[in-house]
Amino acid sequence: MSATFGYLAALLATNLRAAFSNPLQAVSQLALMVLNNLIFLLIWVLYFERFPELRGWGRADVAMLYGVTAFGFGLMVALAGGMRDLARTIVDGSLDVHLGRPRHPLPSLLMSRSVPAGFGDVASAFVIWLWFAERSVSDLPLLVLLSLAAGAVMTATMTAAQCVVFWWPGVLRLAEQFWEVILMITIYPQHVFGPAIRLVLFTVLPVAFMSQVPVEAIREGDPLKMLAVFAAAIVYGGTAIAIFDRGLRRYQSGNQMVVNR
Amino acid sequence: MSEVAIVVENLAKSFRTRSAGGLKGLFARSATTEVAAVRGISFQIRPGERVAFIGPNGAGKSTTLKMLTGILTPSSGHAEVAGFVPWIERQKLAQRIGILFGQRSQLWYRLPVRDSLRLIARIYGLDRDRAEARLSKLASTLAIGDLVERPVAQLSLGQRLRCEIAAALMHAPPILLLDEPTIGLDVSAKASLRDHLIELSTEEGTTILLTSHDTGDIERICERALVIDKGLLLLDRPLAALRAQHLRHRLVTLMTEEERPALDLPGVAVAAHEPHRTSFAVDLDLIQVERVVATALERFSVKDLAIENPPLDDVIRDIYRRGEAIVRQEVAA
Repeated sequence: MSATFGYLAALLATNLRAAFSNPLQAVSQLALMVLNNLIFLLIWVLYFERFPELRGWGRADVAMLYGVTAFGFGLMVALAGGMRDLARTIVDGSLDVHLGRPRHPLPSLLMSRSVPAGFGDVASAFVIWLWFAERSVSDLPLLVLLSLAAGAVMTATMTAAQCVVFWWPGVLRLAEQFWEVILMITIYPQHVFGPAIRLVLFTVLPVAFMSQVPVEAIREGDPLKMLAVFAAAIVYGGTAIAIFDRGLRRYQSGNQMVVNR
Repeated sequence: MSEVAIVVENLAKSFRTRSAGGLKGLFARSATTEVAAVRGISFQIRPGERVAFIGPNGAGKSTTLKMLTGILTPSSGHAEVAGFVPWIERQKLAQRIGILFGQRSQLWYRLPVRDSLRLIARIYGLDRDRAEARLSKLASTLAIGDLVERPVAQLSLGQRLRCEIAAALMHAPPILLLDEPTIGLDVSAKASLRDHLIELSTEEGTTILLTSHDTGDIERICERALVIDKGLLLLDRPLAALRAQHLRHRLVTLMTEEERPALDLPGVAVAAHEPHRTSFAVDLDLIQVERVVATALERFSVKDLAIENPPLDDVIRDIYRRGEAIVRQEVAA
């Protein structure tokens, strides 16, 4: 177990060195992401200046939700940026390299790359929570914990969705764009939807556990909802691994020429 | 290691490809076509053997190698590599084999090669001291000592490939599976790599199975050849036997006092000529090469002579050309 963690830490360190090998480019990506998030939040600020609430939610709630998504998604792409290329890696045969190693291929696949802009998302989450969501510093540990679980659900969902190319390689582009759809839903409050859509968001596309439920858990101080987020991380994480392993049996391996970047 | 490093029995692999577009192509099973890439091949490789896996593009070489590494699951048949069934015990097997796919990279593009090699050592569970010792040995043998500090992005293809080979060898595997290991290398790098592979095989008893389109690799490194085409194993022979059986001619070159010597013997024809130097193609089915040489020495004033095997390229071309007939002949035998 410790050997596995040691290897993952070494993999992460290598990816971070690669991501920051051009520090100016990496830091500018990071800074632009912070700016991008703050500008997006300003639109909500303007909205709430005109309308005091959105079905019971105020500016602070929406900001907290945005912060949870930014932290979860940001950490995911910063540490496991290979997730965004997963479908293509499967289709073009780059999975071969990972399968040739004495490890389960999924961690090394997901952690095959680090996206510096993700650290911008993580940094902006703290600004958003403390400034726009008006949370105190003492709230941060719980926010971070729940956001980590939310990020795990996000990673699991996107992993499972991209594994569809094991069965249908022709839907590569769709699979690649799936994460954008997911991200789009997570940054908006989902309690405004009707029961049918909410059912989908709590099951097939578990977007609710990526932002809405963590925020409700903190707003309401509900330990059951907190547990639900952690349980979702475990259940969807396990499901994603099972789907990936099942898909591996159908892996056909391509022959496109690719290098690590 | 057991008496056999690699055992392959009736190994077959088919791929399902979609032949129809649109929604029908996506979901209907009838819209798919089965393509047989490997059609029931069998062979064994002993520890320390160096074997070439030869075949034209699309013959099934890479697919077979991928099944032997556990990357692909076969449609039917059985295989064991280092005592492991690859597609069932892939992770255990990975500790015992080194893999190089010429078109795949294990190295981080923006980082110095040394960083990638250290990480790869970690992946295989090598401690720091062993990793550094191995890196140092590989750096010396593959002549990459001055390359390991440079980012991969700054290396030429040949330099990168030498570093990729170092990556595949970091954990000192007893079995090496190499797919086009010298592709893109310059002449001296090729020679150096071939020497290293032979040295590995001799010193450490490393078994080598390689595919290559470069007959120099095959001739220099390997002692045995498996010839595959259209998913079928056409031949499994020592290289010397392959030549002897599949090319029934030799080239006899004479350097003589006479400007244009002529040999009117059955099965002997002039292959090339320049003043005082003539090459004769000798058909071994019609005449023995010794008789040709004896006749030449008797009739001409010979200053020098050379008896050459035809290039391996010709042997392989001959096998591909006669592919189906060879299989029928083998089955009948």
